[in-house]
Amino acid sequence: MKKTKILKKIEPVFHQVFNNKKLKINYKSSPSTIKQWDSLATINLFIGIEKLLKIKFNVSELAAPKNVGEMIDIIIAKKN
Amino acid sequence: MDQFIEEKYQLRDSKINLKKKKSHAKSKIKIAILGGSTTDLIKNSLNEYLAMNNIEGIFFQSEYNQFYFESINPSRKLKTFKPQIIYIHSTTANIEEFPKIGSNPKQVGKLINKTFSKYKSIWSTLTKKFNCTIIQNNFEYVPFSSLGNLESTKVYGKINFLTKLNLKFFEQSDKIKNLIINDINLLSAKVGIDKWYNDSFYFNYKYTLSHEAIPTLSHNILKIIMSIIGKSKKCLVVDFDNTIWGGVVGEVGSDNIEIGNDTPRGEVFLRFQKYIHDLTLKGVILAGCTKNDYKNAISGLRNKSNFLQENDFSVIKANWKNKVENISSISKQLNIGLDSIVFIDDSNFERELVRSQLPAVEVPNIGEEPEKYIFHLDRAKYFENISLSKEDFTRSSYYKTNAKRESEKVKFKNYNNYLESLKMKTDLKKFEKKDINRITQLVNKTNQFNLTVKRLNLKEITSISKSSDFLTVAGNLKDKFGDNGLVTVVIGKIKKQTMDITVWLMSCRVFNRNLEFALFDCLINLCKSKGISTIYGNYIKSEKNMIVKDFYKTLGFKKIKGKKGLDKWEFEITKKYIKKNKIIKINNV
Repeated sequence: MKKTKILKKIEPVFHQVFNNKKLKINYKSSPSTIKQWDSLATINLFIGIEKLLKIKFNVSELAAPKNVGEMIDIIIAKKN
Repeated sequence: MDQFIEEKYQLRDSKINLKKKKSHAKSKIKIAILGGSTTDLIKNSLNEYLAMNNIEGIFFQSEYNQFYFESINPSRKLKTFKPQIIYIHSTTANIEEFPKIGSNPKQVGKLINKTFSKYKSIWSTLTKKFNCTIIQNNFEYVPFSSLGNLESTKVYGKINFLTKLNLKFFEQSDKIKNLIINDINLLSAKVGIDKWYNDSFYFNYKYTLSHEAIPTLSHNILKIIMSIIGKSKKCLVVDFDNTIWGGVVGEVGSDNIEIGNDTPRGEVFLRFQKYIHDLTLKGVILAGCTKNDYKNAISGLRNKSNFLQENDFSVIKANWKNKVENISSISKQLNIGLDSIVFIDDSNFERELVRSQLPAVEVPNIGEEPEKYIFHLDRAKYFENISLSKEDFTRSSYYKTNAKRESEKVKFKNYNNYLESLKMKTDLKKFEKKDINRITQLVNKTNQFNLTVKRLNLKEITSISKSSDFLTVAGNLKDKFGDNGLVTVVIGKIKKQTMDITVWLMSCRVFNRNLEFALFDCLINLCKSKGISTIYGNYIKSEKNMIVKDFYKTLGFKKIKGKKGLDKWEFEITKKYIKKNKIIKINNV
């Protein structure tokens, strides 16, 4: 799956977690660019993505990503 | 709205939902969560469940893993928060030291005591400082066992160790009335220990359980809280045909209904009946509601293979009226609110009808497979108790005798004659130690005849019973049909020559029996002996206590203030006071 396609697919999870349907995310989006992105939001994002894509992140995958781009890289690696 | 829905965890629209619900949230409750691991998602999930039940949760969370220090040395934040409930979310991950493999029983015993005393000091300090209810997790089993089965059998085995600790927790909870155990050992077994844990979440975020398990945990906490605030269900209404036995009795005849050990389906219904019977033993009132000729319904129940007997039911409505009408009349006859009732029926049509017409009644979707009925009823935990008293064990007999009283009533033309025929007696006494549990239960459960709906916990009631600033009366009511047990409670605060009634309540079992008048006569006597000349009465309006809005007026009080849901009433005691009760015989005033 392409990176852009996954970005589109997971965007609704961000909308729900941050309760903001207009929120635009890109590869650089991270806790430092989105104000309400705290550790609880991170967990909720992962739970949302796990459910949406029917995958499970392991310990190191969950620990690694620093921004949305890295998150998607992990998803791609998992899906392949 | 109370059903446990699998995967209930809906972080998605939780925020929107909460906003909507908040506007008509009826009661608020302050809960402090002191965690031995991360608790945010648990808080959120519990908050959602509370909102679904029209309760607004106000939360305090300790800093990460500070449950011990926050308990022993509460922060100012926690002190000003003044929790009504403290939930201690400690888990097996908080066990600092397990026995070394090969340790001797003495060494293990020492370690058990060391671990246990840590928790004991948490409970005693919190009780002393906050005087509130404590919900404490016990310990779940470890997911891996290097010792194999010996993990359970050897004294140094981890499961052996945890089991002993859990037993100590249970014993303590039986001794300390405000300590309630949240049995996560059972919950994790139900979820499955491998699904209960989630390594990614533990090692990254320090959650000691998976997000799939969190709703199970918070639902259980919700049910404990509901029980603490007296909102557990009281009455189970069951349909008969294809609900408690297989087949339609009116068609197949009482000998051919499926019940008993002869067929698999018969056994399924038998197991369900036994489960329901256990509920009645712990005080759940059972009622039948079936579309049948009365004769047929009863003949079905009289089939010898049934476990449930006719006299396990407090009321049976077997007729062709619609179930909405029948359930309303059950509620009236037993004098319990519709929101205390759970209705089960195999027919989706009946369930939908009741659900739409009587939204307060809980109608679980028990599905179409009889073997699953028990599962759906059980996991919703409608009838959770935080304690059981003598009154609970004998409750159903009160309601049965009440039904007899009702049938007697029609024989009399005049209600007073009927009351006289009951030969009622009451013991009105100040609060005694042996009654404190029952008094606490009444104070926290009574909704209708309750002038102030002031809730007090066991500790508060105990200290009131010992204080000379308070006048207390607790009363029972006996009659020729039986003993109703302790049913009425009054607490008055004495201030020089005046007394302010802060609590006056009476169980709905004994409405319209003149007990309130007997009690008032008794209060007047007590006041006279203490030199009190003025009694103040308070009425604080609630959802359900409209029935006593003008109670003080009936007694001859004058309204001196009335605003914002609080009416203040005044009564001057004069020599000319004429006794109001002429029917009930009063003992031991």
